Amino acid sequence: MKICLYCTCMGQNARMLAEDSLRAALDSDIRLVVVDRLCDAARCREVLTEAVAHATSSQVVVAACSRDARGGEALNCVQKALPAVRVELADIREGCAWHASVSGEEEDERAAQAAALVRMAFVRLECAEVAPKAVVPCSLGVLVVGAGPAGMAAASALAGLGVPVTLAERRPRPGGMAMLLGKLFPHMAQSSDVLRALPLEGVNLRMGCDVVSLRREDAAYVAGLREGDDCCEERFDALILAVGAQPVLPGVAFGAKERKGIISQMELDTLLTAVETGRKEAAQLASDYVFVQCVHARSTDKPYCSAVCCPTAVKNALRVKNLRPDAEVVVLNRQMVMPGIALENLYRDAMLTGVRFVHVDSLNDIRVEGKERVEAVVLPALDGEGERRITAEALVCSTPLQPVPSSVELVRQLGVCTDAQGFMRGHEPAHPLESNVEGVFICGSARWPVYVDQAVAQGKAAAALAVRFIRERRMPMDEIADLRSPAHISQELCSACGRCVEACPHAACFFADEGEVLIAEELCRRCGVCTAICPCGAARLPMASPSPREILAAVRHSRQRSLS
Amino acid sequence: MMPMPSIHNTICVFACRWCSLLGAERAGRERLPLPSGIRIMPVPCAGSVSVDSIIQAFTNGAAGVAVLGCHLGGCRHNEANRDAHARLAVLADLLETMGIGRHRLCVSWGTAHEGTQYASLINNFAQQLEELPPMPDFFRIPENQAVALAATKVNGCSDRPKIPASADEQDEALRKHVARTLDKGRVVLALAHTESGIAVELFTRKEALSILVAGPKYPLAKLAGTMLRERRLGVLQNTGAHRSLRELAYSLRERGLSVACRACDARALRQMADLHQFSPETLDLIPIPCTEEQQKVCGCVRPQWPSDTSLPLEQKLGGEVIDWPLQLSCCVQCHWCRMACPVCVCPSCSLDDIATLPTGRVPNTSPLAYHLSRAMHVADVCVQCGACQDACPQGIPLLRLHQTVASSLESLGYRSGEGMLSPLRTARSRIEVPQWLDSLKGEKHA
Repeated sequence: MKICLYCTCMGQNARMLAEDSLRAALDSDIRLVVVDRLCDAARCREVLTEAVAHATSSQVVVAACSRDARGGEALNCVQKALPAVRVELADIREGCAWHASVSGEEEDERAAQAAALVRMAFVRLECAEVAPKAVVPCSLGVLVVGAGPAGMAAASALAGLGVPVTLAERRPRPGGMAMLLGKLFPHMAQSSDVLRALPLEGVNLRMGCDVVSLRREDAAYVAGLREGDDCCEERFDALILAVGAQPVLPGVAFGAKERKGIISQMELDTLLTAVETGRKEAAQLASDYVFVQCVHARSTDKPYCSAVCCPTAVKNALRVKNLRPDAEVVVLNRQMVMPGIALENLYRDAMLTGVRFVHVDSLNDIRVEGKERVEAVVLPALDGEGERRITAEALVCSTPLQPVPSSVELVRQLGVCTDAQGFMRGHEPAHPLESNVEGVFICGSARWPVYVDQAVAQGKAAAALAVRFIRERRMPMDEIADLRSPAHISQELCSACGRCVEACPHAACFFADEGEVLIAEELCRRCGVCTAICPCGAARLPMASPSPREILAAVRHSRQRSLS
Repeated sequence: MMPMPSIHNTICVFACRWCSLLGAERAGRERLPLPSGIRIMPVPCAGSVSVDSIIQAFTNGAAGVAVLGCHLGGCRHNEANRDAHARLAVLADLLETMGIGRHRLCVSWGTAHEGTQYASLINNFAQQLEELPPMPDFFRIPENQAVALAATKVNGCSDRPKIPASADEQDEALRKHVARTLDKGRVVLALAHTESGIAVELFTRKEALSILVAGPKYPLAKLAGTMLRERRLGVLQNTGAHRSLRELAYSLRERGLSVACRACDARALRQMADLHQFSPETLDLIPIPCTEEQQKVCGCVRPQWPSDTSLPLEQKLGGEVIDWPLQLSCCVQCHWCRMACPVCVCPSCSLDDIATLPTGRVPNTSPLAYHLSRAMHVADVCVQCGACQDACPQGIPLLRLHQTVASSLESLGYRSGEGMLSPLRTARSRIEVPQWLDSLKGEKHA
């Protein structure tokens, strides 16, 4: 028996789509039951037991609002009240009645549309192929690759939630690049304090452990781990990739090989930390510093702005001024990138303290003087005639961050997308920490250079996503994906022509050894592209695209009308 | 306030659930005026909308079909909508050719995320449909049966010019070529002049060569492809016929098969190998050049292999307009076109699906829909050999239809049968395939 529950939405729908006209438009075998509010569970129980109690083996279509409004809720309420019957939703409020309030069409036209929507829902119910939801054990835990601030934050958050977590790090100590930095912008916090706030109790720490391979097997991820000479493979439920980045070295920029006094921002950072902790004298700092921004960045080779070098330079300029107030600091820049209130304040502080920011059009304009040591930097004058000479005892090159080549190779083994530079790519903009591979999450500077506090935030967010993924065993992006079964290929119909193998956007279709085409369930994301390209109807995805019968139900009456 | 829509056409809207479905929902929430004829069908991706669904909507009386997806480059499924974009562009060209009109198909990428955008897009489309000339009846049978019969007679087999046989010199040259091939120990598939007329022969000895002819046109590719296929699927799976075919395929693989064939057959064989029907190493081709007269009778625009690309296909075809609804109303649905087609390799055809057929009509499929769907099924694999046209008992100029599709695909930079990457299925070339996929193979099979 077919029952259509028409939710009047407390009279709202009924004003635009009268019960009688809908009943007239519906096929005679459909019984229309009018309810005032289906999204109210108590009301739903009350009305339904009364109205539909005697019809147990029936199909029920809930004619209510859209799934994103309260339709999903209404569906749940009805399903709970009638656990034995199959229920489907037809959106007749957003999809039909509410347009009627303004378009001024004849009421029976509107009712015909609503009836078609209800009819389509019944066909969906009839055609539905219900697949049992796969239950996957989730006891393997999470592997976090890289123990920088992002990786530590992720591991710490996971351990706090009671998820088994392994933190693998190539270096002997956790902390990553933050260990090399003394103070952190924008708040000048000590890096050790920040890292201390990420406790690693309960984390299986694997320091000095190299992740040599990553691959997927069934629903698990297998990581090849190497500690010293020992190699082993371990299995995990989800992966968090926090493989970090590394600074580009100044190399031979400005004749660094022949002249002394040309250092990188990282070297200056180490020196400043030594002075701040009293291991070295403030007198060892130079009296005249010239910082050069964008060395090896925004060039043809590395066309991107790494976004962390400007704040680092400003931070170090302030630290120099703080430790040696008589020192001069000049920052030669093409453009200072200091976004956000905190960095803006830092920049203002630096200017008030006497740090000079000098604009240069191109790094090629900068000439360095001095034979054995750096003595001065010469710039063209602003009016284009003559030169400006800036005394310099040390030239500090601000270089960008770049991906670590071995890490890029590692993540590509998994099939994780990286951009031209090798930074990992998520599903920007809405799901930036989810990689294109299910169950693999990305965070920290390996997806784009970030400040330490941002890396920590991303690490925690990735941990939350991984927990959700493990608990519900699904990709957060495809929320309804695994409610449906994956696509499959009927071998009797298949000609093994390989069209789907070429067209599948997730590489889930493949040729097996015997030459037949199969679909890897683990990779199938239920997009239905294989069903669209298959000429013999062998590829099937239940509930993906409207079935031929549903299309027929949608347009049936229009054909009858055009014939009559 | 938007103009009041007063339109009663039915419009099927295939809305990607990541973008335009949200737009549709928002349009309702914002209470924007929309025509009552729209029927929303949520799909997981615009790439999953099959051409068959669209054609089916038209067949059953939809005045327009809209396919709305995410913007190109923003697809949730690794840019599956780029393939869909190419596919729907070819379909739009074909709809125009068929006299249905490309404007009945609205394809839009990334323009319906918001309620207002969605409403204006749909309202404009509905308005545009209102102004179009009436839709051709998909089930049209010419009013006067005599017209249909006349059309049949005009195109009919009896009056159709026969493809001329080969000249003696051509036969002699081919025999010499084949003799050299036989010396290498290969088996040669070619035409022979026997007592009962032209037949296909497998030549293994030189003594038999006297009956070999270059011959008229014959669909050799389909036969050669069938012989080489080691793995027959479907009905032949476990029958005796299957076993003997399999043995034949094994022996041919050992000795190697050479086929004396024309450029169209060469393309077809290459395309069949690209469709993984057999491994191309087994095969060797002995070319038979077509005479100009033969080309003319065939209506061939690709007489060479690889194709001569000096002139675009569109110009080679000229501007002749065919009334396809009329021509196809002569179709008796014998499906010989499908049987003769060398690249129709499916063991069963989705066009036979009974669920797609509206009831109450005899014949109960629409010929127009059938040929439209078929042309799209083989769009990027059709090699324009004309086997369908030669097989058609009603003399429908089907080659012209496929040539039109080929010219749309040529504008996308693709020619079939030459090992090129089809613009309709490019995903595999764009994505890196994870290495661990190999590990699944043994497992699945076991």
